[in-house]
Order: sequence, then C-alpha cells, then structure tokens
Amino acid sequence: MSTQEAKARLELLQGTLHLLILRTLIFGSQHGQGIARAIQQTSEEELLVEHGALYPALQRLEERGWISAKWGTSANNRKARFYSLTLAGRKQLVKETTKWKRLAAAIGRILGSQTKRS
Amino acid sequence: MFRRKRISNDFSAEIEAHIQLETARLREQGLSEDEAQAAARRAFGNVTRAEERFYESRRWLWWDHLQQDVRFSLRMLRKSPGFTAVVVLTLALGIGANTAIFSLINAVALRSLPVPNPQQLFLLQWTARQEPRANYFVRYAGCPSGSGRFLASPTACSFSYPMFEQVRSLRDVFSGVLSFERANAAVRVSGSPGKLWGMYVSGDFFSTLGARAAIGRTLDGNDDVSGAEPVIVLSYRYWQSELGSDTSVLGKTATVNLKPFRIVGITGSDFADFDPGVPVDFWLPLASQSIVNPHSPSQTDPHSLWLYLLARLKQGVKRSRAEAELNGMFVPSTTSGPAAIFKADDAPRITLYNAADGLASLRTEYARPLYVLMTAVGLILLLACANVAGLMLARSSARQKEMAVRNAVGAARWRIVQQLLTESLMLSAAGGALGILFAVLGARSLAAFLSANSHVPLQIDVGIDWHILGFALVVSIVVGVLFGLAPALRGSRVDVAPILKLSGGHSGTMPRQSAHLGNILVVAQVVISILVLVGAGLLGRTVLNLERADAGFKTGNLLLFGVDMTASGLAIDDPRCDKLNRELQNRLAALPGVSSASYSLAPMLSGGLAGGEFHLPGAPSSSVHSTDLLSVGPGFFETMKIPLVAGRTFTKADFESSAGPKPIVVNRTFARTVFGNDNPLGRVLTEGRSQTPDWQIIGVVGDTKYENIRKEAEATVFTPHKYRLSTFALRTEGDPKAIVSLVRDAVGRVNPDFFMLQVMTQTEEIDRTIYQERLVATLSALFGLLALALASIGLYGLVAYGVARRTHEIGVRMALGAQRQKILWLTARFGLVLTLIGVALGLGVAAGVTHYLQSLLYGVRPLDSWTFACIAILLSCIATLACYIPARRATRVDPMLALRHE
Repeated sequence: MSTQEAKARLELLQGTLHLLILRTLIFGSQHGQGIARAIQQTSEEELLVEHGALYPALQRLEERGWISAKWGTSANNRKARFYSLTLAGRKQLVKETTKWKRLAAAIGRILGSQTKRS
Repeated sequence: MFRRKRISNDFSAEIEAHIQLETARLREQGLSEDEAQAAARRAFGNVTRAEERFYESRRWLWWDHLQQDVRFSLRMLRKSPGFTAVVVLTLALGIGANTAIFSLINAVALRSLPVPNPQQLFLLQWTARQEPRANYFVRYAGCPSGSGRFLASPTACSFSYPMFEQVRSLRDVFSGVLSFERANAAVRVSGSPGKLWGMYVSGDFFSTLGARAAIGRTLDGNDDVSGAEPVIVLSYRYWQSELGSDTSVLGKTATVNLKPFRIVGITGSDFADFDPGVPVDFWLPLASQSIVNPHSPSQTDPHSLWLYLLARLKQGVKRSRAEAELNGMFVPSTTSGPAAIFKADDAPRITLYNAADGLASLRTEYARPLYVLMTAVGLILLLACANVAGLMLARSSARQKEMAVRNAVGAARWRIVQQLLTESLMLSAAGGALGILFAVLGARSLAAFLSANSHVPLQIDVGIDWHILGFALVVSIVVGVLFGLAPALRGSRVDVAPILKLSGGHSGTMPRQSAHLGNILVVAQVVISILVLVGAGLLGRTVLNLERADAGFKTGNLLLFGVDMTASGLAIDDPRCDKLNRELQNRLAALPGVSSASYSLAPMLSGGLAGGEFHLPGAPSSSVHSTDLLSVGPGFFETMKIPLVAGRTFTKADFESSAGPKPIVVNRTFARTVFGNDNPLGRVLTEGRSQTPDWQIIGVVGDTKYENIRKEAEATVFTPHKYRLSTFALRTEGDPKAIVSLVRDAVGRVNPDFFMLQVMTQTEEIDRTIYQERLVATLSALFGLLALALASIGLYGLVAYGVARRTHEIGVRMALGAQRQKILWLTARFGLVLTLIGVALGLGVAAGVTHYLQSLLYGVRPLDSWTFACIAILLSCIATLACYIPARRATRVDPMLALRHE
C-alpha cells in the first residue's frame, strides 16, 4: 500500500466508522483485522480504514454495549479478540442505517439538482 | 487501579494480534516476513497513539488524573510543612467556628419534629387589641411571636379547656387536636426526688402526634378521664440517664409531688426533641393535674387560659379554611355570652403556625443572636480565605518556574488549574476535618455555657449529624475553590519563555495587580484585628468592672442554694415552714467551715426581683410608690455583711408574731426618697392600695444592688421570710464549693424529701447575670486574636516573599558594603508601612463604631484611650515581630552565594 494508493481512497466521514463496524458484524463475530479487511473489501477498496483508529472505536462500541467481545482463535490458528453484535447493537444498526440512508438521499438530491441546473 | 492495568495490557495484546494477522495475510500474498511486518505496522499507523486514544476514551481517566494530582499535591505540601500547617490551621479555625455556630442553630432551629408528617401540625395562637379579662393567663415561650410583652397587640398561645373541646369538635378540618401544659413537679422513681420538667397532656396527645413508646405504652384517652388510675410516662433520656435503662421500672410506682402514679411506658428515644433544647422528662394525663397540683386552674373555667393547642390538619384541607372555621367559632364565643373574655372591638383572631420544627422555645430566644454570631464567624471565614489566598498567591509566584516548565513540556492549561485546585481542595478538606473537631468542642462548650447561664434547664443536643457534616463539607469546598481559584488561574497563565530564560529560582516577579491585592488584604486584616480587639478590650474591661463592682455586700465566700419543700407536702404558707427554715439555718451554721447562715426568698443579683407598692397612711391610695421587695430570714444582713445604719435588724420574735403591723427593714435609698431627712424609724406604711397600716420600719441598712450588678440600688423593703421556698446563703471561711456535700447531708437530715436547687456561689450567680457580656467579650477576644494571628501570618508572608525575591539585589548591596541595619530596614520597611496604615485606619474605624457597644459597656467609655493605646501597641509589636523575623534572614544572606545564584 503506497501513499498514492491511500490518497486515492476515500477517507471515512466522521461517525460512519461505527455504522460500518456494526454492519460488518451482522454476518457473525469477527476480529478487528477481519473487520478492517471486510470494510475495505465490501467497499471494493474504495474506503480507507486506518487500522489504528479502528480499535478505539471498537472499544467505544463495547462500552456502549452495542458489541461484545471475547478472546478466541482465528481461522489460521492465531489468538484474536472476537467481536459480535448485541441486541442493543442490532437495534442501533437499524436506527443508524435508516438515518444514514435518509441523509445520503437528501444530500444526493441537493447535489443532483445543482448539477442539473449548472 | 488494577482494572485499568488489565484492560490496557489486554488492548496492547489485541493490537499485537492484529498486526500478526495482517502480517500473515500479507505473507500469503507473497511478501517476505520483514516486508510483511513493516507493511502491517505501517497500515496500522501509530500504535502508541492508538493506545493513548484508548486510554483517554476511558471513563476512569479523571480518576487517574485525580490520583496523580493528589499524589503530587501531597508531595508539594509535604515539602513545605510550615505553609501547610498554617493554612490548614487557619482554615480549621474558620470552618470550625462556622460549623460550631451552625450546629447550635441546627440544634435549636432546624431539626424537624420526630413524628410522622410533621408539616400537618399547627400551633394555635390568638391575637387581640386588648389583654383578655381572664382569671388565669399563661404566656408560653414557644409561642411563635415571642412572649408578646413587647408587642403592640397582646398575643399568646394559651386557651381554656372549654375552647379546647370546641376546637376538637371541628372534625371536618382537623384529624386530631391535642392540648398540653408545661409544669414542673417533684418526681421520685427510686432514691431521692428530683425536680423535673414535664407536661400535662390530653389523652390524644401521643396518638395525634403519632409518637410511639420505646417500651410499655403511651397515654391514651382512657387515662385522661377523672377517676382513672393515675399513670405516668417517662422520657427516654430520663430513663436512660437516671434509671439506667432498667426495664423493670414498668408497672412500678413513681410519686409526683408525693402522689402515687403507675409508670406505664417510656417514650421513643428522640421524642424529647418535641421542644428542642428544653427537656421534658415526664408526661401526665391532663385529668390528673388536680391530683398533683390542687391550685391548678379548673378544667371547666372558660376564663382560665392555660392550655396550648396543637392541631393536625386533615389531608387536603388548606390552612386558610381551617383558620376561617376556627375564627367562626372562636370570635363569637369569646366576645359574647357567659364565657366572654374579649370585647367585640378587641378583634380577637386565631392564627395557625406550622409546628413542623417543634415548639422552639429556644428558637425564639436564641435564633437571632445565633444568626448574628453566624454572620460574625462568616466574616472571620472570609478573612481566613483572604489570608490563605494571599499565601497561595505568594506561593504561586514562587512556583512560576515550575508552572512554566510544566507548560513547556505540554501540560494543558486546565490540567494545571485542575492540579492547583486539587491542592487547594486538599488543604480545605484537611482544614474542614480538623474544623469539625474544633466545632464539636466549640459547640459543646457554647451549649454548656448557655445552659449554665439559663434560668430554665436547657439540654441542647449539639451532636454531629448529617446536616452538620454536610454543612462542613459544603463550606470546605466553597472555601477551597474561593481561595484556590485566583492563584490557580494566575499560576496557569504563565508566559513560558521569559521565565525559563531567567536562571534564578526566585526570579519570577509578582505582577503589579496581585501585589496590590496582597497589600490590601494585609491592611484589611490589620484593620479588622484592631476593630475586633478594641471591642474585646472594652468588653473585657466591662466584665472586670462588673465582677469587681461594689454590690453593697460582700460577694466573696458565699454559697447560695434553694431549698424546695414542695415534695414534703407542705402548703405554700404552712406555718411549719418558718420553723423548718430556721432549723435548716441552725444546722447549716453549725457546719465546719461555715461562719454564718441565713436565707431569703430569692438570691441577690440573680437577674430577678420582687416588687410591691405602698403609700403613706392618710395619703390617697392613688399616690402609691413602688419599691423592690425581698423577704429575708433572721441574721440575713449579718451573713451578707450589709451594714446596719439605724435601728435594728430582725429578731426571732419578728417571725413569730402575726398581730399588728409587719416589722420591716428598709435601705438607705428608701429612707432618703420617702422620708428625706426625717427619722424613718417607727414609721408606719400601708402596703399596696389597702387602708390599714401593715408595715412598720424597725431599721435602716446600707444600699445593696438587688436585681443585677449593673443596676444601681433602688428603694428596697425587707420583710420577714416564712415560706416554703427559700434560698439559703452560707458565709464560708474557705472555698464555698468545698462544703457542698456537707450541706447536702445536712439538708437531707432535716427532711429527705427536701431538694436543693441551683447550688452556686454568689460570684457564679453574678457571672450568670452578665453572661451576655462575658460571651461577647470572650468570643470577640478569641476572634480578635485569630484575626491578629492571621494578619501576622499575612505580614510575615509578604516580607518573606520580598526577601526571597530580592536575594540577588541584597547580595549586590552587601557586596558593595551595605550595613546590616540598612538591609533590615530595606526589607522590613514595606511591611511596617502597611502595618502603620492598618493601625491608623483601624483605630479610626474603631472610634467610629464603638459607641454601638455603649449599652453593653460598664465603667468604661466607648472611646477609652487606654484600651485603644494598648491594642495599638500590642498589634504594632506583633506586626513588627512578624516583619523582623523574615527581614533578619535577609541580613544573613551570603553575598557570594546570592551572586552566584544568577
């Protein structure tokens, strides 16, 4: 991963990392590195997840009770901390997804109309 | 914290795991081990930063900071133990004084009645334009508007029994109405009888209040009917302290004024607080009052106002509605018909007063002076704060370099403020903790002082409770922030570069603004100390003058005590009383160490007096003179050492004869004002407004003060004393208190049912009547010395700081050959000038305000130059010392060291 590569990718908007983590965990429990990978892959390598920022975010989500964690063993037999969605986290995900879709649609409408006019 | 460590390590392990997973993935993509590791780390970014972010996101961060700050503050404070001790002690005195006064206020004014729903309880009080025309009329000290004596319209809380029954019938507004009367009686449970304060209460007293018995039962309606078995309930306090919590007293018989009563219960442990501070030790049914006290007002008489009524409002009923219903009934029944005690235009009215806090006899008496004292100690606390703030300010200047370093290495400003505030709060917390100790001691001695000087027994419970602890805590925090904030804000606002460039440890300069503030604080402290000390000096001289004042008789070596014969069943004017009085006199006079003994109705100089009226025979009865009156036993003038001027004093025969006019002795003022230069001996007077001659003068004695030591002697008539209650006076050869047990035995041998009241020396009796002067003098002396100590500390700090700051300059001067005296003057001058300004200002202000003390002073003028001069000299000496000590240190500066300093 060179710097140029990184520059080409989109940086995450403030507050969206939470949503992405929750969304990723809907497929089952996963460790931090796996979450970072998954976000990058599902976004077709468009999004940049700074790995260092991921862990404090995971910590916050855990404190809020949206995800829970326990140590386990990864597929290639390494020790890792596995996160899974809690019931509260599931609700939060629904809430934030709706919010985000409305926001994206609204912004999209404004930007779309401007493009038409110009 | 253990929890933090585990999680933090756990977090690091997780990051490590991530990097290994990432490395493994990259290796699968074909990178070498080293390349994969480096790439994984690069992708992760700054590991330490992530760990820090994790650490900062945690909720316990403030706790870690607090722990750091506390540890650091402890280190800093331990490094300057003198500073710490002075600050803590100053704050402890300030907080302690406030907490002590607060705990007294709490004891008499703030505690709620210990019964369910006290806010529903209301005390009935009436007001009218004229005094009621009643046979018997009691004013009660617990009445909200005071005794009513000084008010324009008469008011009281006393009602007749028929009125009580009427009020009780208002069942739609009141869920219960109770009545009571306070009384004292000779009560004996076991051993010798004691004079106790108690209450006669209606049968529904306890049930309406909702008070339960600790053991046995309380009184109920069946006890309060005439002919019921006489029963008594005792207070928990009495049961505990006098009966040793013995449960077997239940069912036993107690005697009340020699009449038997069965003990049926002990009240709950907190119920004695019904009237905070005034002990109630027993409760009797209202119906039994006629058994105990045959002279008590009749229950059917509508013209005797003697009962206090307390009503419990029904749920949801407004006070205004209850008042309207009460007055709708009270006004017509008291202004017309056979039970009328008012005229219609007297406009009598009943008001309801909330009794949630109890009856508060003491609140009406002491609350105002206590609030005044609270203001005074509040000022002292502010002074202490100002002082500590000054010290902290000087210290923060000395610590500027430390602050600058911390700032330079990246400490956030709020972290520095937080740390300095932690330091202040720790100081104030230590001060508060020590202050609570001072408060307990102070409140106890103040309460003891008040009850020792009170005429009714007091029992002020100043024990520590949550109110007091809360108060001390809040005061400590407020104080800590108050004195800590300014220095902390200043300490955090340092300009790093110039301070760090200066290499000397003390080179930081105090900004002009705070230097001015410091000077003003010191001058203000000197002014306040002068003010308080002048007041203390004037009052101290007043107390000395009062204690040395000539009473007209010898006040030293005189033991006084009352002997009450009530419990032996004698009527108030039983002819046997005279014989018993004289038997007691003979036995007491024969005791070793007693040179003579006599008795009178009341003690001299006790703050009370009896008075009477008389007129000359033949003169119209309208031209009455009033005079002070005192009945005395044989040998009274000899025992008291009151000189005989003319005629003779009383002999045995004067007490036995009842025919003809009563022989009286008058004092010199009486003889002069009534008869001028004529010979008063043998003259006959008519007592009161009657027409028969009932007094004949047999002798004239020297003037004596009677009511209190401040009041000059008035015309006084002495009559022979032959009643049930006497105050004995014993002239002793040595310490009067040493023979008290002998005296008790002697009285007990005459009749074991007699009891002794108010045993004290004449000097103590005088002291009791001037307790206000003594209290104010003592407190202002204490506060004055405190203020003086604070001011000296302030001066010391100021000069010491100046010396520290100018070490380099002093070194240069000394190297250039300056004399030590010159250096001394140079450094101390500043403090001395401030002192002089303060002393001059203080004397001026004091001269302007001491006339407010006029009414308290005795034998000393408000502008007494001697007092003013002494205080000025005292203060100047101490202030000079406070400046000299640090200034002398400046003269010991080694020029070489001082110069190398730079």
